Amino acid sequence: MKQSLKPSGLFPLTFLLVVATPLGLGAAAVNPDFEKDIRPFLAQHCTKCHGEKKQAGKLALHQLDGSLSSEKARETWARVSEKLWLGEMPPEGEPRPSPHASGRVVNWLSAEFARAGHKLTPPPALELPGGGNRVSHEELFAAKAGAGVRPPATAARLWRVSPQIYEELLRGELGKNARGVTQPFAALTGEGFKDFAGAFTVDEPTTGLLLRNADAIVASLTRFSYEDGKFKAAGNTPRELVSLMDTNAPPTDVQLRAGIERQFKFVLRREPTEAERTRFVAFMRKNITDAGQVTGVRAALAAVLLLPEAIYRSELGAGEPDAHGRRMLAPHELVAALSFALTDRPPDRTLQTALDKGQFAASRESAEREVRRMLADDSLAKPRILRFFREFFGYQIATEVFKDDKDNKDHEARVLVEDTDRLVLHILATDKDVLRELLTTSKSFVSYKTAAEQKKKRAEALAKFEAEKAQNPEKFKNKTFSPQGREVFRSYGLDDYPDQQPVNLPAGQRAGILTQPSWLVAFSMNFDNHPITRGKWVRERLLGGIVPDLPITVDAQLPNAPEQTLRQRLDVTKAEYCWQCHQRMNPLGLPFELFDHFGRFRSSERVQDKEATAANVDSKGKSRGPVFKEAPLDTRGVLALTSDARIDGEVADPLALIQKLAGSARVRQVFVRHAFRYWMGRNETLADAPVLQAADRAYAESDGSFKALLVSLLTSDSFLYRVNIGKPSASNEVLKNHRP
Amino acid sequence: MTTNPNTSFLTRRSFLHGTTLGAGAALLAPMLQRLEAESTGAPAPRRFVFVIEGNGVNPEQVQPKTITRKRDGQSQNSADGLVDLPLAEHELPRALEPLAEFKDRLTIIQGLSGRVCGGGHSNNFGALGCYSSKKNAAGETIDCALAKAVPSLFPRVGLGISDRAEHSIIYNISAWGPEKAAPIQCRPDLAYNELFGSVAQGAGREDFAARGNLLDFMVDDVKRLERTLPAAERERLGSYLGAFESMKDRHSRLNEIQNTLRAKAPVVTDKFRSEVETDRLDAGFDIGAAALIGGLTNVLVLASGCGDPFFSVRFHGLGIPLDKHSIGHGKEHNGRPWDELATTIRRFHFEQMARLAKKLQAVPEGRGTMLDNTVIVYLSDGAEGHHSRCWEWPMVVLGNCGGRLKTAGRFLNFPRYGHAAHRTTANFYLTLLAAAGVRRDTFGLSDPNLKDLKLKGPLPELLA
Repeated sequence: MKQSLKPSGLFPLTFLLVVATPLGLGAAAVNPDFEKDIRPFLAQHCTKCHGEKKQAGKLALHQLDGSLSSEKARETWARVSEKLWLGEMPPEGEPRPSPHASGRVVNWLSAEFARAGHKLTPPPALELPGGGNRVSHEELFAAKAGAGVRPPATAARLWRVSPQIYEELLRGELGKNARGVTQPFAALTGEGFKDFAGAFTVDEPTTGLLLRNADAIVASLTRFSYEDGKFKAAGNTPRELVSLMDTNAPPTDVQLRAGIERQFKFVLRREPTEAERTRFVAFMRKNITDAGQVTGVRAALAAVLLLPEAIYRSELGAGEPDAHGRRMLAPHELVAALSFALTDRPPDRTLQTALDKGQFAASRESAEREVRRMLADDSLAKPRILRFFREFFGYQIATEVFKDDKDNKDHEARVLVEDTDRLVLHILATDKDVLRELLTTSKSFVSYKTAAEQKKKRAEALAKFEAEKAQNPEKFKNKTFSPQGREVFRSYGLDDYPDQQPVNLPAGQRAGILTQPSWLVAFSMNFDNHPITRGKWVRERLLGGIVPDLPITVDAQLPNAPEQTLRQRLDVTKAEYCWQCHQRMNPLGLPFELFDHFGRFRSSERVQDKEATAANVDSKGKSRGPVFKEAPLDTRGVLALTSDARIDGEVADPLALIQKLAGSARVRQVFVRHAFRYWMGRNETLADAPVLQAADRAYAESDGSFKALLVSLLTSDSFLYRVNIGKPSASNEVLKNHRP
Repeated sequence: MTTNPNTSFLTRRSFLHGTTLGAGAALLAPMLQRLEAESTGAPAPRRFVFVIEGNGVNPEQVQPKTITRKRDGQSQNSADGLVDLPLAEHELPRALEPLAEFKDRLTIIQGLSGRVCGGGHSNNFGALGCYSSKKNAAGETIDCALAKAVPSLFPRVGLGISDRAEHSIIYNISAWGPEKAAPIQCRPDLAYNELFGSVAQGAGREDFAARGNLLDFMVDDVKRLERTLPAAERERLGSYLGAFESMKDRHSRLNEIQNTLRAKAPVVTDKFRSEVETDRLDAGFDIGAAALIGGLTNVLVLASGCGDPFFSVRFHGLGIPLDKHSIGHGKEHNGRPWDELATTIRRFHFEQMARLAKKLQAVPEGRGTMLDNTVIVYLSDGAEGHHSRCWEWPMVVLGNCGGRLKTAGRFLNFPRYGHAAHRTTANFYLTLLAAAGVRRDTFGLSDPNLKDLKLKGPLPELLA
């Protein structure tokens, strides 16, 4: 393979493909031999820097003998495989091994690990969320980053439509009358970005659902009845389609062609090519012979809904490649990419009309014009923007965290999430210092959708209670007012619903999203805070750091010690083996102990009083249950290992932690990296450095305008250009033919 | 960590091709095989059914009334040695009463641990996979491992219910491998279409022909596009193509066994779209039984409210409007305490299991019946409690899988966690694999706290 032709930043993708099969379920290749295959590889590519004379990164490989019996050997080999896997070694400028050669080493390692009873886990693939921080931040933002590698571009790709895009299709003209249709696609689960281009294939059960949906949609588009033997189309059915059902008047080829054209326009928003017309008419004719007119024609119309073009967004690029082999997205691809960047719907009328009339030329200028137009158009719903913040911060998963009602009857995760959504939109509307505001604002919305109504109800109930109490003081002597429903304002430390929203929360208690109850709940356990995942979030999303997944062999359990604070119980993670990773998380997550696991501000922590509990027995010595006491809070934390010396140091509480983070240029850049990933649908590589730097500049120089950041990203080379990775295709004839 | 729920059949294509080469005859005509077995006494297929109920099984609820459980300490089960008693001499607990007529084929297993799973409301994929799974599939689960060993037209059929009626396919309990979740279909009507649709619809023949043509067309169309793509994307489209190819393959096979399907398909009733969970579960059992009897599959998973966050099911049909999560937390309803509610719901599942066993018993196969070649395993994805710790994992096993298991009326209680003769759920799953003809030493992850025990391989106590 001619390695020199490949952009180094994209190398790992190619490599992954090569090794994917042997590591997967495919047939095992002939296993390489250490002496014959592996040792020479190390000598050729590794031991110059990691050998007897020099041990870069304190790594020496010259003494490895192929045995994996010791823990140390396995650790070393795991590092080797990871570097190879990610294409990070050998470094830039050194001769690179072929993917085949690297693949052999990784294959050998997987087999040896398995033989030693261990599993060699691949690092999170570069294609998936979670792998992005693997690319060195320092290198991405270095002065000469990107020099010497091919200019930025994204691999030509198919991107399965998102569940939301499909949902819009079901709700729109096509699917609105269809019955029994269902969402066939799932998003990535858990916390983080949900829609990466490389994450999805369409499996058999999903295809089954797509097939049944297509049947149902076509049936709804072709509803008819017969009255006195006379064919009658149902209302709101397109004439070109439903008329094909009339068995009194079997369709002519001309009618069949018109039906196919209508269906193409409907589903793919384009005319079929001549070849497609011919193929579909033949298909219909065969179907009519085999399955009768109605069923046969319907099956062919359903096929249009199943064409790969309807399931995958095509981003292959078109036209002549530039000097670097990059091709700009074709006009129809760019139009769709822009629309799906901001909305879940196909191009709006303006864009579609321009495209249909051949008046949309794919260029950076046209992309910028359209992005600015759509951003300025308030009547155009742009759900993808809010979704970015939801997935970046992760607060929306608060609704998935089970909480016991009896511990806090006022907790309502859904409302907390809506409040944070509203806060994000509020800050975006001003579009100034967006990230800093998100991190530091003391403002919040509080059950904003229903606050006024709830406040009124509550006041009325309270007045009624007081009136009854005044009339009958004896009966009400020991009663306190207990309102119906959930008092969500309590999650925010308030005593009632505010009159004005957003409201300033009690001084010294909150700073931005990370102290919103929604976020705190999202990163909590069922019955406790979760300092580890909070710290992990800060480490990964704001500092751009990496925390390895929990080793699969570790039985991570906190001691069952109800008399201790959570911070004390977390001391188990200070064992040397655990602390390697936990030092990256716990000191960043523990400041949030300022809140309880429902996100309520607190000044002490409730723990079990061991002695009082032991003494709390009845006359027969049987326990009457636990007794609790308040333990002092410790909200200290440490910013360390951040690669930003200006922010390293101890912090007293979460507010101090957040202030430091909000002032860091590195944090801003990491935020930009995440925006890049979300909008490109992939992780960045070193080749994208110029794009990231430009986006960061656009954001910083516009005083933190998110719109400016978006324009920069959506007009970047990474967004506009595609390159073919791996074996180049013979041609894109068919896709070209798909276009008029 | 992120999961990709849509790649579960990524390897379908190669898998199907593989099994076709290896077991073509079996796939071509499952009924033929059964008939052959009837006439010649040739080996009948081995079948594995898992009935999995969410929210844990309290060991007391499946403990024979007349056998005292030795309980002590955190892990509860404190037996000092293997307890192996004939079930015939003991009385089944209330929940298990529906299985009374199968008592001589029944084995209650207590005391297997599954600490590697971690516990909680649900162990998700870990319950059948023997690993810790927060939400994603970290490895192959036993049903899928068995499915590879006993191939059939549908390698594995997964049916069940979720906490919400609108859920169709959920991914909660089974996986072909890491990040390759296998589905549980929660909509009986959709499950029916998938398995029997070819013979059920009014204009059945036409629909079937049209579907065949459509699949041909799609295979052709996707291939046409695939050829033009860069390698990486060809791979991506490959699974879509694989899906159509495999459906096409199955379609033509379903064509060949239409008569059987027509005879064996369950009757479509209102239950298929019912709002009531018990109805949908009932329908699931019906469809599952028909799939086994029709020879469509040899591995059936019936998952009732399994996996996080699907476990908080309500059983309105049993007059219990309280969700199972609340019941797990000790809530009562109309003066009925939580354990009575839980037992009532559990009993319903054993009624279903008995119904399934009876149906299989009614179908002759070889010199006996289908039930003789089947094993039905009941367990919970939540191990021994609502917030389980997996110290023990009660199992109820019905049938001996063609004489390969020693399950004829026994009560087995493995000794306490850490005892030299203590065993884990992995050993039990290895026993099932052995019954399927696959000898393996380990399954899933081994428990680091039990590293001094001899935990490799199947349970000799159970394997014939």
